[in-house]
Amino acid sequence: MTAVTAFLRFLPFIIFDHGKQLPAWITYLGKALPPAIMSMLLVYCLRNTRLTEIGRSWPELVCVGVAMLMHHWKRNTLLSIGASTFLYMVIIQCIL
Amino acid sequence: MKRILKRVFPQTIPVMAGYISLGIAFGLLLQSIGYGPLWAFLMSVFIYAGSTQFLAVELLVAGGLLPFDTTGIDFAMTALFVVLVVEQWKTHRNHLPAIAGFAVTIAALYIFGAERFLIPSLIVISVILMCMKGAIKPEESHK
Repeated sequence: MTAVTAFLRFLPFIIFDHGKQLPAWITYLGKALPPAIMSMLLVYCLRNTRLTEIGRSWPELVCVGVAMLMHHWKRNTLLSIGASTFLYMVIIQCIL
Repeated sequence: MKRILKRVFPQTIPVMAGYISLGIAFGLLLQSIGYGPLWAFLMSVFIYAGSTQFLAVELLVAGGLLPFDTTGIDFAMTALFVVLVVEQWKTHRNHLPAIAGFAVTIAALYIFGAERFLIPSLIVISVILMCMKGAIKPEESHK
């Protein structure tokens, strides 16, 4: 597992020449893919959150909202993640 | 090499910040079930697989003691991706890729179910993005 992961991560440095311009479609994907993939992974994290069972899923939704607002407001990664995770833990452990 | 590092390193800072908090969560989680810093370090170096490490923790929980209740700490991963989505939204002026990502993944979640929607989503997203290549010009996709 370690070997395969390491190989895949070093592969781009092996196949592309440092000095040369990258192919246009690679630079395009480098710009367009990250926002799409981050959206995909956020949906993946919330795959078991049922919007139809709001009584059970509200802590996730509230804390996602908190993380979003905090990051929009302060743009401090540690603060956004820390505060929303702390709030989530408090809700899950003390209220539910 | 030094020149490349100088140019590339600043771009990795947002991701690094996310990983630092994820690392803290991972360390806390391991500590909470009685495995010390050395375990956390070795697992991070050798498993080196991001969220899979959190699954490994659940496997170790079998024989654990709990100094404090860590229920819900796994939300750190969701929070990380919320931050990354907001970060991407702010840095790219064209929001089509982000919107396509959400639309395709949510559709795939309903079609394929929660266990097997990730790979189809990835494929469809790549195809759609390649088809939109003409619509998103490089100079307008970045601030």
